[in-house]
Amino acid sequence: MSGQGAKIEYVDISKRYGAVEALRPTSLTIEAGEFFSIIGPSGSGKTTLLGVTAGYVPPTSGQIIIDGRNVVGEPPFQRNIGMVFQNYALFPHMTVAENIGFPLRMRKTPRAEIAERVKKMLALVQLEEMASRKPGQLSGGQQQRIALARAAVYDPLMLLMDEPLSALDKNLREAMQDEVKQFQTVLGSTVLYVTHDQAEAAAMSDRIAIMNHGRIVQIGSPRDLYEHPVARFVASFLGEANIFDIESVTPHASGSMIATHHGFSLVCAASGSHDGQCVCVRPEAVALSASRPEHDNVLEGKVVDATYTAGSLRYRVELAPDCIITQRTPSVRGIEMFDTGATVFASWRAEDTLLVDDD
Amino acid sequence: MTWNSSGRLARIFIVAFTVAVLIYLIMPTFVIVPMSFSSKSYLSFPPPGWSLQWYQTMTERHDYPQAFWNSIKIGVPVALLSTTLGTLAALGVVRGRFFGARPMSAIVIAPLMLPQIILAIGLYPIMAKFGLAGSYPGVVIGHTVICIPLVFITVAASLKNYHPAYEYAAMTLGAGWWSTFWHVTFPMIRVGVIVGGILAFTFSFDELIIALFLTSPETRTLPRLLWEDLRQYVTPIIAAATTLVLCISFILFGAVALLQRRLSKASKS
Ligand SMILES: Nc1ncnc2c1ncn2[C@@H]1O[C@H](COP(=O)(O)OP(=O)(O)OP(=O)(O)O)[C@@H](O)[C@H]1O
Ligand SMILES: [Mg+2]
Repeated sequence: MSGQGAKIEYVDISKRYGAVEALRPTSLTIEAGEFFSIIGPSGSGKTTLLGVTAGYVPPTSGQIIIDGRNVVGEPPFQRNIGMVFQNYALFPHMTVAENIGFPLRMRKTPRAEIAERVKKMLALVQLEEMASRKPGQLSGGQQQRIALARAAVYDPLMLLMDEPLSALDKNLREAMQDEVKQFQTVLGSTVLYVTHDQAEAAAMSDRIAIMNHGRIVQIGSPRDLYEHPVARFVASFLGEANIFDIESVTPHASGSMIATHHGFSLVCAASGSHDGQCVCVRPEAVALSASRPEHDNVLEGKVVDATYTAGSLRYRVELAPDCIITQRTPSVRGIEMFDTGATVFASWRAEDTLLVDDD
Repeated sequence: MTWNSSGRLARIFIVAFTVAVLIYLIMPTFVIVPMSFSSKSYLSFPPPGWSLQWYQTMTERHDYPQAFWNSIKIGVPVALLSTTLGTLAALGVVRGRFFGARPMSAIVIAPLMLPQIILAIGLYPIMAKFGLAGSYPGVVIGHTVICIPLVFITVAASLKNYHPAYEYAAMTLGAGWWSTFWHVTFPMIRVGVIVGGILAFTFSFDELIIALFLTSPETRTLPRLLWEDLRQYVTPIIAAATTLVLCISFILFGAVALLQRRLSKASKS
């Protein structure tokens, strides 16, 4: 059953709806067997990219090369690509088994073979006893698994998934992430996965592309994107970011000195210009202390509030009027907490002062 | 407390008002039914005595049965034709991605909005030119023009009821255009198609103005015969025939109501 996934290459692919550039010319290569995610805010063009790949959205320009063959212009039913839709799109008038068997029936597979492969798929998603139910009689998570089984039963060249878990509640969503990942590993498929949820993408993907306004802003591994965001948008979309606007940058022994809008001087390990850039500091990189520490960057402020959640403790500290920095540490048992209004010193290393494009 | 009681008062008022409107709408219809069982040879309400003689006379005369069969011979092809064409039009307008799909739907619905007399006057010379005036095809075409919008509206509503992702899904799974329609689209819109077809038949069965222009004595429909009879001698036979038309219409509307309830139940689950 395990078909090796295909390699897919997008060359300047774009889609325009009247005046709306849903997808700007985009080039991208996804390796065979890779789990590749796309994240981005609503309307950034994620579904459009999937539609163009599946073939029901005709692109305005560009090529899509799957295993060396340009598929632009081919109708969806000739592409041999599997897709899981956001609301699953299981056919309500067919049983679960008929749904999964549908793509095989369309391929004129012999009846006995259909039955056998449907059974195997149902076993893989652990829903053998649901074969004769209608989709309306299944829970959200079960429907999701059937949709996955239906999209994969015919060994498609790749699997597209459009926010497949967004309709599920949080606990189920996390369990399903592991299942989807497991499913992909077993089948060895190439997966192009779309989600709103950066944590979900980080948990499953080999690489992630971040989209905004119809273009890919950055591609990288989850760690890459978090630790080396190239743009303010990436920095604040993935996790939390403290952003400082820059007044000027001067060279310095260990990199550069940055004067910020609020009059702080920050030491940065990298050198940069100040044109169109800003500073990003991750909340985990910041340390808080009651007395002034010896550190590359030290700023004094007052605690605005503290939030204790499972796993982490999050402070907001006012450094200047209109300038609040967020700090996060693991919440260890018995951790000593600062009072609201207390004077504290926020400090971080020069390497943690990141220069990113201010878009 | 006050809010509650005033709310109840409002509800009683609404129910009473609805009942009054219903009586007002249905009353004239039900006046005709008792008159058809009259024992006298003139129309009066309430009837002075009861009998079934007018139903018997109706079936014994040659023109009523013939008109009845004409109505069916016209209504059935009208229903089939307008169901096919109306469904295709709805598919094109709702699912099509071509420029001008929106104005198209206004054009398709137009014949339903226009006064029928205008349509009849416009159709007559055209049919005459093609030698179709007075023939079955002539009136079938005339009725189909008005019935296409009826089917169009019900089918377009069923199509808008679900996301085209079902069709995209079928296509990514390997179904061609025809398979997608047959295995996915049609089962999803089936109720809308059937309801549209029944409405089309009912419309054709009741229609007078176009029938007046486009039928001949050989092809005349039941409504036309009733109208012609009314102008000569007003006997309870008219009430009997009208009651028959009423019964058929009610049965068909009942079928529509049942189907639509099934549809709304299905879309809820
Ligand atoms: N059929 C269409 N006609 C016109 N504009 C469209 C169409 N489909 C999408 N768009 C526009 O293209 C842009 C990108 O849409 P797309 O559906 O790809 O966004 P998305 O990233 O999937 O958003 P979401 O996260 O909300 O699903 C949006 O501005 C949208 O309004
Ligand atoms: Mg989307």
